[in-house]
Amino acid sequence: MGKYDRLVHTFKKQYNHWGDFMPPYQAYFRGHDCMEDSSFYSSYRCYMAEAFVDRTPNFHTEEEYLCFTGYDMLDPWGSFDAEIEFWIGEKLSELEKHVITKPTIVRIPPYTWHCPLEYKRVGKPVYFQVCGLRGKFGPMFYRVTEPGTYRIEYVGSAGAKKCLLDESVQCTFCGKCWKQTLPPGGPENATEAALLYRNAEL
Amino acid sequence: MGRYDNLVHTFRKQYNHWGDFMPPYQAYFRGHDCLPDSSFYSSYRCYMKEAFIDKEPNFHSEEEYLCFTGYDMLDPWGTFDADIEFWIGEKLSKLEKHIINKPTIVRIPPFFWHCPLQYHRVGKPVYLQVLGTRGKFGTYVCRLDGKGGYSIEYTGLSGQKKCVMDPEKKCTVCGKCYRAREKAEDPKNATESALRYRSFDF
Repeated sequence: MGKYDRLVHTFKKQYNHWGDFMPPYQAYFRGHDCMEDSSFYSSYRCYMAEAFVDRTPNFHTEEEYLCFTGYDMLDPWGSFDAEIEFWIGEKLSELEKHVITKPTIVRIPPYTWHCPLEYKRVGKPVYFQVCGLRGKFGPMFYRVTEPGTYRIEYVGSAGAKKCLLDESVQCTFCGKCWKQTLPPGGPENATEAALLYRNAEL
Repeated sequence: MGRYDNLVHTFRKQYNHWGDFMPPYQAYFRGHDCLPDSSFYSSYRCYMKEAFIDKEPNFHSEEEYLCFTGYDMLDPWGTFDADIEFWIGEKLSKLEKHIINKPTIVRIPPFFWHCPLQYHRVGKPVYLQVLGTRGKFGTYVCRLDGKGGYSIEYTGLSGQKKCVMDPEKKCTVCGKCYRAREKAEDPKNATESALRYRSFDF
């Protein structure tokens, strides 16, 4: 045992169940949950086929970076071949569409709405890395409670969110519950999802 | 032109000249230099062979993370096969040795000495991602004067350091000057380098 072992974290394989558009396992560095006092959060997983997972705009209280490159880090350009639709904006009602077709990093300032995010075409697997500048990392969502009213819901992660299927364990974003949590009649694509908020008061 | 183009950065290929232990080009997200007001810094490059570049201990005023995985992000575990020697410590005179032989992330708290870093065995290319939690990212190193004295030098990067070979340009950490700056008295390996500071009083 060394004095600084607490600063060294070996990644653990986390098997996931999102679907055949992801590899069978993923890695996460979940800030505080992995390392005491950490002020960083990072994900390590690829999208191997077209997918539309992040359907709802959200924001964070901390700065976040979304990094899209090819899967082969020997050649993150040559191994990039995809079209990704992404929406961002200070106002939920005025989200702006961006199409990512090259290796790209996006800065999300604190409290800036971002997503939906859709992998429209995936010619080669895309390495998507989420980097959060806080150890406890969680998104806020806009929820319509009844016509004309809304609330902002904090959906904590990294230690603050329980597994929906087994409350005795933490959510690891394994995706097992994903399909069953999709609202019926939900948006079919990113554009449709983003335009749902054009009349939002935020 | 969109309102939020200032938050989206397309990576540019930077050709490098470190040697045949690295791919011919690399990517960097250099905080402020790439996106105004950014508080993040990240590198994207691999080590394909044994190498000993980071020969001296250094520290930063901000938190840093060093992430070692395999090069293929579809399988960052299966493509990891290396032995890496890394030193870290609060005191330069009491650096602690760590051997990394699995996908690992290391947290470097502010003002913590870290390095030397040596790739002893590289069975498969290693993806090293340096993640800094500040837009302007620079290192502090201990300079020995050969007479028992020392000074702490700030060797700023990310827009603050000029190219050694062409002062008209910024340093891109391309490695072209690396061989030219090597000295006969340089340490031959990480252990020899780390032990040089054992008699220091800090």
